[in-house]
Amino acid sequence: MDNNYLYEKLLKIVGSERVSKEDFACLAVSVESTAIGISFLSPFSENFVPPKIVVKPQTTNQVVDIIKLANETKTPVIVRGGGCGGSMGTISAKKGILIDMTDMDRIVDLDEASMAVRVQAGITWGKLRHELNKHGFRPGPLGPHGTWGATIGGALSYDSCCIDANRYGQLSEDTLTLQVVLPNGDVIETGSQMNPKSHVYHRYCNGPDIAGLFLGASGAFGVITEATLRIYPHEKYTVHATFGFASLEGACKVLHEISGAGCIDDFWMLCGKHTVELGYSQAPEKTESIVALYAAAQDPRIIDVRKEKWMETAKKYEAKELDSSFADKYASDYTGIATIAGQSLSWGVCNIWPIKRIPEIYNPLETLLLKYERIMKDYGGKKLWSIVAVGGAKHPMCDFCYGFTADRSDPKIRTQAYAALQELQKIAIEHGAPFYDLGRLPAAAYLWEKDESAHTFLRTIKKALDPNDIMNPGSLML
Amino acid sequence: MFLNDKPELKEQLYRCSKCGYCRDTISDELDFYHVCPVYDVLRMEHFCGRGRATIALGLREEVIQFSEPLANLVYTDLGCGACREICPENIDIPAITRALRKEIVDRGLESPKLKQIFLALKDKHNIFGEEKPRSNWAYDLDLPNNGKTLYFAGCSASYTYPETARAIINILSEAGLKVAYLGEDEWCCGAPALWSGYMEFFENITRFNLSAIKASKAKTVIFGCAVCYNTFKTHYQSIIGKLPFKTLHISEVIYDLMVKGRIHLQSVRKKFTYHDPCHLGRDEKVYEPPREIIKKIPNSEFYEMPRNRRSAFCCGEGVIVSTLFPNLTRKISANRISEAKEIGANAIVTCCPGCVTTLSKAAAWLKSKEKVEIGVYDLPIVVAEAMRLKL
Repeated sequence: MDNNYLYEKLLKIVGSERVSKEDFACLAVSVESTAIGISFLSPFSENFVPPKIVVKPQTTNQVVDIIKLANETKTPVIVRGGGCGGSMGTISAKKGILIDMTDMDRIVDLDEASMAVRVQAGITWGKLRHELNKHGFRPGPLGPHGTWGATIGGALSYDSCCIDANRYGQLSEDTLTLQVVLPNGDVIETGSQMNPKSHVYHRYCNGPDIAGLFLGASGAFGVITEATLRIYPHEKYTVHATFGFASLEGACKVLHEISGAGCIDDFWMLCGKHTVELGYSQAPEKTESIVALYAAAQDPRIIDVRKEKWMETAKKYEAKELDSSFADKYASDYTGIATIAGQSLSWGVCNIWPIKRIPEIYNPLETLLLKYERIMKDYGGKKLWSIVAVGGAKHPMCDFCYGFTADRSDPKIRTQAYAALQELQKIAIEHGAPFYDLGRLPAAAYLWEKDESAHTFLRTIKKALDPNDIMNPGSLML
Repeated sequence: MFLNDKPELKEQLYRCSKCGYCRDTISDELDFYHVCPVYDVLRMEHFCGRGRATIALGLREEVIQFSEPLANLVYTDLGCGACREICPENIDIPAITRALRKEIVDRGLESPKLKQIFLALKDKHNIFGEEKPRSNWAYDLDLPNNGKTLYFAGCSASYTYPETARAIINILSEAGLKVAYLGEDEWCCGAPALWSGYMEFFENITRFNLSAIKASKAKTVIFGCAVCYNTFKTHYQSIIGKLPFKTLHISEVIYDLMVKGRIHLQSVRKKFTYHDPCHLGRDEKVYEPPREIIKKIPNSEFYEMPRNRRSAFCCGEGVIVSTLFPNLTRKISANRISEAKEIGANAIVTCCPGCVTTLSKAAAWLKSKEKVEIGVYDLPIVVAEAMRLKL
């Protein structure tokens, strides 16, 4: 399709300030968080396909018009939120229109009766938290990596693991209703909002859970334009602490016990000696794992009870309480995951895993990371790999992340990095690890090899909803 | 290949984890309420720090090429450093922008307007291309051209705001501090060249000014302009190494003299707020002295804007951006004026003539449009008024 035709049409839909076909404008939105995406940003790579036009709608009606135009012209559409994902979900497989959702950032309704907030999907976590804070509320999960800059729509489309998810669950679990623009341009509401007269927000009603089809779907089935999330009273009392362990097994047992008892909102764990050296250099000798715990409550007595449980369990497993700088840092500015990602997870894999079973997957991962460390060293790379668990999923689970960094400017290293990423994901799938952020990760292909019927089922839905295959082509490997 | 000669910046491009904090973060925890003033107005990803870093990476990887539209984009960066301030990875977007601009100039892709400004600067040694003597403002002050302490006036105070330069001399003199002045031997500090990408000429200016200051035998140089101060203190050093003299901003000097009891302020009935100039605040971490001075003015009130100190919103001047993109600057500065008005201030004090210019223009524009009335003052003017000094 002629780009000028698309441009002129889009101009009419959103106005001249919200559309661009300049190559640099398209490039700017064609990489996403973590260098997984950047590893593709290379002239030799066939995988890097920037969009040919970028558009920023402000209303659902504008999204409808864009989708109808895409269908009429059979142009692929890529939907992007904060650009903070790590699964290449917003990096298109085909040249098309990229919809940047970040100007759809309004709070539509704050309903204290349902304890719910309805928002446009492009609102960032930072803005949502700030606006709710003014009214004495908070969302349950506080947002994924990218924290303030990530959007609600992005987190929903990738089933993101979030801060405080150990208590509240992933965002999808705290989602009540969705408004979705389907690939044919129809707009649907889910759950209680199917009834336009309803002022109630509830998910599991009025028939099957339609919202579930779009959550974690990497934008393959439609554009989430609005969402309703649960809200909670803001908690002013907090506690955090850092513990050191002589063994990874001990750390996992403590975490499992505390998490299972509902005594933490979030945690960060550096798994294994190497990662401890990398992330907490002042740790005492022979420390095999560091754990930082965090909890919040409205009543200080609850805080006391939780801290007591931490201390009691730590004592039982002979953990040492360390100075709280590690926990302080991550609890105070939430940049923990972002910082770890930047420093040591340039090429990382994240999946959901039971805290208690971390040791059984740790050894094969360590072996693989050591293998790639040797390869990277041949190219002059540094020893920078880490295995980290964070409380990004509801207890007793965790968001388990592992990967490494290297000189990303060297194409040879990028090639090796991608090979390592593939192998890491294969190991995870072989161990049965569930992936929450599939996007265009190789893991999707490995997963469908394991379950052909699930793949066929999803492809059938995709074909029915999106016969022209315009929505986020390549996502979920559909 | 782009940035091959700057390995630290090159490494930063690859390190950027694309978290997007530098775009429009709102965070009660970080105390930031929107980050990028340009993105705030123009709303497309390529105008924010992350987008700019990605584009620079694309240029390095030769995925895209330098072009005139791209050059235009690169010159919209204010260099205010809010993106660098919030970045968990310490990516220095302003430095990346300067490197991009140098590359653009080397390729001759800069706008004709910028070329004109540069030619005037090269010829007249001031940013305005003014013919008249730089030292006119000091014609009756009988300032020596050498001495222990030197005042570096800068282009704006010399030509646009002579009353500010005179206020500084009078304040210091009243406090018993005699200063020297280079007169016609003072050139523009070079910031317009530095921020436009004319690096060779910037180096020439640096060497000229340093040699003039050396000849004056000054041990301390005082600056009234935040941009001049930052250019000397940080950017000159990157060319010649450690400066052979101490640099101070006038706010630091006045505060010190106040603490020593050599400056006494009298009543001024105004509701003040303070606007942090980016090059004084974020760049040089001078946040408190101006505030302490204003707060000490009897019978005045002081209100803090929500975005202050490290998260202060830029006025939109951006050294050369206001000249190249006046409409963009006006929208950004109007935004800042509204912020001051919302907290109940009727007088914005700042420490940089560039900020005074942009904020005054926005104040006048808003006055005509929305009947919003608010005064904009450079700190020395307010102090001189409170000292009852004649300018």
